[in-house]
Amino acid sequence: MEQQAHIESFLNRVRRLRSQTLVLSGTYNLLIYIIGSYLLACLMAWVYPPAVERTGLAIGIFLAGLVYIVFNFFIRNLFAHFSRDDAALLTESTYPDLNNSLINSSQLGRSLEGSKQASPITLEFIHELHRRTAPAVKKIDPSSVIDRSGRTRGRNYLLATLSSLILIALFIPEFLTQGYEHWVNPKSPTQVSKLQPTEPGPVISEATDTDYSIESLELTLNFPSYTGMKTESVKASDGKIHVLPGTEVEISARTNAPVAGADLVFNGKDNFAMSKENEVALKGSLLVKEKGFYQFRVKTSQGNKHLIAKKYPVTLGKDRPPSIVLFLANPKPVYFNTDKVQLFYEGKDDFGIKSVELVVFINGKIKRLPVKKFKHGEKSAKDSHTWTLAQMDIGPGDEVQYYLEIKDNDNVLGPNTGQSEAYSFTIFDSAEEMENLIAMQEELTEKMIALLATGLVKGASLKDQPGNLTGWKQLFTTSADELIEIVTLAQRIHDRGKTIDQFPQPYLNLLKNITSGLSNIRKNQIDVLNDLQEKLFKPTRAKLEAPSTYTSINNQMIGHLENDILFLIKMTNKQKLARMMGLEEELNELTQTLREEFEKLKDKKSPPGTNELKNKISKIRETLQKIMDQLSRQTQSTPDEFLNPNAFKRLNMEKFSASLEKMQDLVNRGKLEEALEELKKIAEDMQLLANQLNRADSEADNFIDPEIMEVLNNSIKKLDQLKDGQQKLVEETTKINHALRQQQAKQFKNELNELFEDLLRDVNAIRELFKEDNKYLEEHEVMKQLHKLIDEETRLNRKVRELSQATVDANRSQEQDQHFNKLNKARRGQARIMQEKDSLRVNEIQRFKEALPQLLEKYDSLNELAHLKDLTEFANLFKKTYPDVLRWQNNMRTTPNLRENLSGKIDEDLKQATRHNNEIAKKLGSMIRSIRKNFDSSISRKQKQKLEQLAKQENQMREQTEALSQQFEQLNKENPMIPPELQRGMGKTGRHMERAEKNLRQQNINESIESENLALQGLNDTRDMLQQMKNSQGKAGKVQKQVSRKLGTGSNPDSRRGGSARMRKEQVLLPSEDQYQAPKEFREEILNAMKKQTPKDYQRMVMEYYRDLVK
Amino acid sequence: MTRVFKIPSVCLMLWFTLVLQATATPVNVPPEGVFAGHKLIDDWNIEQADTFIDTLIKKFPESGDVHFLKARVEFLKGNYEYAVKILKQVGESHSEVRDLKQLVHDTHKATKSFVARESEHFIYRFQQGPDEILVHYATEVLEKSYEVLGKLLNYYPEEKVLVEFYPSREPFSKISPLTLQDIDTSGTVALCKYNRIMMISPGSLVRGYNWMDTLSHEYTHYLLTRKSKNNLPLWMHEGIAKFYEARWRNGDEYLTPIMGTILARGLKKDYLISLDQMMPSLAKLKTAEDVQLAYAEVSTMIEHLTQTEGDKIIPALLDELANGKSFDEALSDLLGKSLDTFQDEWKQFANQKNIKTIPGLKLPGIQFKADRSSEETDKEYREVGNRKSQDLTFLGDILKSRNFIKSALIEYQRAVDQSETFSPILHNKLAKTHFIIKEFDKAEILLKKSLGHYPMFHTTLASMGELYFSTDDMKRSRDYYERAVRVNPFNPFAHIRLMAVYEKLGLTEEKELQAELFGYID
Repeated sequence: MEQQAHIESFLNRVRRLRSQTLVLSGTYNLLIYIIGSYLLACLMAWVYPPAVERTGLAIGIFLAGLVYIVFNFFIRNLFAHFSRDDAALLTESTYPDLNNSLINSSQLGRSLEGSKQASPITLEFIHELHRRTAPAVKKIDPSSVIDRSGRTRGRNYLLATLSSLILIALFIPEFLTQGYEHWVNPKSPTQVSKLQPTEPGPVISEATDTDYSIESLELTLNFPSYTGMKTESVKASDGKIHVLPGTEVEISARTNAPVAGADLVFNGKDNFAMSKENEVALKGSLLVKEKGFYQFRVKTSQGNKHLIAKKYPVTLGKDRPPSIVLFLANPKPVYFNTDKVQLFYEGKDDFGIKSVELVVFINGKIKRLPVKKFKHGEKSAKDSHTWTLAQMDIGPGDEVQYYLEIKDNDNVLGPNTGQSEAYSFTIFDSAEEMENLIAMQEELTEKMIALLATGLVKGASLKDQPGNLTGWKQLFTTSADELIEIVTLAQRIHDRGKTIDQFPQPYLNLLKNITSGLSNIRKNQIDVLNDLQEKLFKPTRAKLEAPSTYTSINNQMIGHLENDILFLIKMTNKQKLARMMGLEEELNELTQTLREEFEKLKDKKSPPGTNELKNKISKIRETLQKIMDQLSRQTQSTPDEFLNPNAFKRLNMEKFSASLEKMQDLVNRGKLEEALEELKKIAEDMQLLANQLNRADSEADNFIDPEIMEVLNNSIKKLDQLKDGQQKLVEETTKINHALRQQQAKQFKNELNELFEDLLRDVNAIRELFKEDNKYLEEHEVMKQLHKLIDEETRLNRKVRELSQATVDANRSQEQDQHFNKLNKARRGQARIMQEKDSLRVNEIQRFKEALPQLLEKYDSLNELAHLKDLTEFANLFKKTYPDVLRWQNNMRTTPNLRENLSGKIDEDLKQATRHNNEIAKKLGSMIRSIRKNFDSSISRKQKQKLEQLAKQENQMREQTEALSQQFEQLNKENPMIPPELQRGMGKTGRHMERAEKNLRQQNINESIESENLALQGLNDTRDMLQQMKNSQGKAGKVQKQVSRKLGTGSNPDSRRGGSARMRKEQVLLPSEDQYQAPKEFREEILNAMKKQTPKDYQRMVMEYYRDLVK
Repeated sequence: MTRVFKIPSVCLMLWFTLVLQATATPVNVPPEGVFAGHKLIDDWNIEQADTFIDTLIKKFPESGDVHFLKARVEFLKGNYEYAVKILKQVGESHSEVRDLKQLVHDTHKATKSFVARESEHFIYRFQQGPDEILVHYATEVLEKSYEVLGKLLNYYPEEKVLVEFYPSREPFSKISPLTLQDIDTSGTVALCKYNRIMMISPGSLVRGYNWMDTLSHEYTHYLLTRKSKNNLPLWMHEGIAKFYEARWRNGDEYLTPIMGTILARGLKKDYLISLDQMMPSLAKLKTAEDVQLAYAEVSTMIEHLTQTEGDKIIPALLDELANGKSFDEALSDLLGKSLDTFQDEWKQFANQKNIKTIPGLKLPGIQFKADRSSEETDKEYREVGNRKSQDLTFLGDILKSRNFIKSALIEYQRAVDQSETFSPILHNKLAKTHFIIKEFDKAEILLKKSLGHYPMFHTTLASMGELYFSTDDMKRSRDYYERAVRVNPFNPFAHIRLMAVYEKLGLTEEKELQAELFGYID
């Protein structure tokens, strides 16, 4: 029984598998059929458009096929009975070796279930048969019985069909959408009527009684929605249509004779029915998508159709692509990767803008960043965008190109695009710049050492030859020449060093000191040279003795150079060490990662991902190579100053390379243990390097030794005391002043009111005069002519620049000649304009006109101050204002050949203004004098004593300040890292104190307060400077550590990057005029930006950068 | 150079007896036995102690006291591994036991990789490698010392004396009571303790040091301890060792110019280190100057003693001490005066000695290498006078490296003028620069002056050798180079030069020997 059950189970499984296979095959075929039919239908609509009119037939064919598939694969097979015997037969056919035992077993098996007597075959026989068959069946896999080739084929076909569908959807989506559209709404692909298309009737070509024609036409144009244009009606139209694609044109026509109906015929093939308004009035519409012509076909009352011969042209208007102009507030050739680029743009389109994108190419890879999307169909856009470079995946040294792309909102033929001019920049590579600076520093050091050697040796020999003036002359001539090179180089390093973070303030101080100190020495040498020159030409020179000043000047140079060399070497060493440490850390990390990788692989016991490991090993090799290069470069060039080269004898690149190759080989052969050992050996060697570097770092001297640091600390304390003293002094003086002012305010209240009323009258009179002048000049004919000429001149200037550039860029000589000709022509034009301008004789008047707004502004301020009754401020501003009027008056008088009528008027007005000014000055003067007199007389005896006491205090503080100033001067001499500004600041503060003291003694309280405040400010500034220097002392030593995290990787965040403070001060360059005329609001922003403080040598630095680039 | 003074034996032994009785397994070892064992060990009477303890072990094989004694003996015999093994059987309930265990463990660990060589009376242990070169020189100094000092002190050790060279100061500080700071401050580089001589290899110092005299000095300590049964006070220990340290090479100068200067200054200012202040070790004094002053004091005391009483006084005193007399008693018996009187007389003697003071002399300082495996040149500017002269020296180096020789000379000379102290480094630089422009006479004057002040300064010795080599005076060149390699046998250039000198002088055997020695460090 068990065997029988097994056989039955086998047959049941065969049956089940067969059903599954059939269903799957059917599904595949069904899907193939549906997709294939759809694609075929689309293809038909595409290659044979009339086919779409046979929708019914197509649907019929499709359904027939569908029914066949459903019936064949689902209904017939599934519902047809497939018994166990059938399954057995199927198995037998696949496995003939069974020799019908399976079918017999199946059939006879049923006998076991029925009556034993009814069966002619004994049960034993059946059992025996089952017993024999069952093992054979056990070996058969039921799935092998089923023929699955159909299912596999179906699956493959389905995949092919689906792929086709996907490809078409991706590349020609309209094939699918339009195909569907055509079948669903079977219309002409190019022309659509709102009315149902009519069947083309029999066209009567023979002559009819009536000669039909169109008497009048009226067109109503419904433009595409994206244009935002209103519907336009053209009454009494000539029938010509010139519209944008997608425009629906409603046509109303009147015939000369009654008609039964009419059609519109487009391009002689597409017909669109017209509705009949009355006997002669017809109405129809066209959706214009292509150019061509249209005609009317009328239907006579007899039902004949008559095509009117006249053709009305249909032409297409064009949606112009949008345009965009990119303005840069501050274009730079190099940016930090944390910078923000400010972009201003102005975009335009005739029918509306859809979006603006920033397109960026970084090292050849394109990226698109959305800038703005427009929802309301704006036709123009002026906006700004801040592009944050930090959000981009860019690294130091990357080349970046970018432009703005604008798209319009054309949804009929797809959006048109426009692009701005492309710009490019490079991401600043601080590591590379640092490398260059180190090389420059080394060059500087070498030059200084050479000069020091000359100064020492020649100076020593000349010291013993007092009469050798020629020798001294030679020495100073050589020194002066070499010093200028040294100073220039130091200046260059200083300027470039300012731009990068690895150059903290003390380093810059050193370079600045080198520059200024050696410049002064050179100046002295030149003076001495002049002196020597004179003496050498005197006949008595043999008797002259070399003055000790020559030796002293030479010693001065030697001393300065010695100090400079010592500090410069220290500085360079620190920088080199930092770079080395950075690389060493990088290498350490790499080695660590590789080691971890090995460990992981060892644990997993899986085959290594050789490529990944290979990359890591390559990276280690690269970094090692860099370290070795640095070591050999640095130790070779200056053996005494940097790391001890003997310490690295064990390290050599060949050895490392061999080890790495061996390691790679071991990895490839799966010997990870040994590879790990090899790696450990490399790591041990690197440890030696790390130890040496750490040792060198710990041994490196600080720039400011403990003694000087102590002096600085004491100075800070001293300054704090001085600050407190000065603060108290200011407070005391202010208190006295306040008491006196209050007293005076009561006394002079009425006088002041009267004074300001008078002043106001005079000020307003001047304002009126200038306003009138402004208007007069604005409207004067000659001035208008001048403005035109100025505009023309601007245009020509721009043209000349363009042509100059084009001439430079021209590749062929022929092109160059052409450009030269044009250039000459343009220049002649410039000369002509200049002549014409001169002939107008109003250039000075134009300058006055340009200056008038500023002048007026000042008088407006005076007016406000008069209202406020602020005597001091008024007097101060007036002092600055009235000389302007005098200056212009003088200019008008002294400029020759001015146009008389204009200059006469202006001159007269300026005279009047001066008269008013004189009045103001007189009134102000007498009032101030009387107040002063009153003020002086109202100082009490007690107050005078107090002032005297304050003067003494100020004197004491001044002496202390001067002592500090001398101390700073001495420190600066000893240590060039101490900025000379300290001494200068204190010197200036001392002078303010001196003035304050003098004023206190003379009881000039106001002036005294001013000087006291300036002195206080000076003390504060010097204290801040000292504190900053003290703080940066530690930083200068540690800066390299930061670099090591950042170097090469830029990982050390540059405090000045992204950097607000520096960026704010950078010069703003206007875009060149030859590119475009920036819109007003942008110009204003740019001009405002220009007003901000600018490093004066920024432009030169940029130029140097370019020069270095092309070296 | 120094040694730690022994803890008074009686107290120590009493303590051991009490403590170990308490810690020992409950086996009745007579306290007298334990006491006697410790006494023998403390006296460095190792051979007798060994025999005695072996009999104790046979009698009391389960006694912790006896095993502890055995471990001490084995440690003093230099059998560290065996000592570790024995100590594993002894409980750790007392800190002293733990301390010994720690010391033995550290010593075993530090010397595990050592190899041994032997001469007639000495066994040398060192880490295999360049330090093997020391054996040749150590044999020379120690075997000579064996003869010379044996005669002076009338004592010749029966067993071979163990000498260990440690590759750097780190393991040395672990196996001795000295910390790294003690070593740096006092300049202590060798010890005679635990019945052996221990020394830091001169290869771990930048310019080596006068290690051969030091070795003889430490051997003197060994003899003094053994002969006096460890009863000689520290100050006299150091005085005798210092006074006799150069005798092996027939030298009788024991006071270096710097020591003389320091002593003269001390006497003048009445700033002296008292004998009490010298306890427990000279290495524990605050500054290197104090250490030198102490040495100068005690060594001149011995000079005074031997001058007045003759050389025989020392062995006689040692015998008295070994016989159990107290130091004061023995001194009083032999000299007929008290220690205080002796000191007063010494002061007079020292003042009358008219010791030369050389202004500007400064202790050269001991400079250890950061990494022995690397060939590093020393950053020696810090040792050159004041800041200004350091800067000028640096500038001189820079100028010289760029071949601006004359200007370098000017800068070095300015550095010398600016320096308030005499710098042998700076003088060497100046002299070597004179070499370059063949101004040998000037160089010789400078170097001789420097050598007069710092006679064991390796660089000067090598420079002198080179000077004479350059002027073709091979005999003198040989003398100086031989002296130079004795101070620093790890300078390969000195060996190479010596080989060349021997060749020129036709000394084939010496050349071959030198080549063999050079082989150890190459």
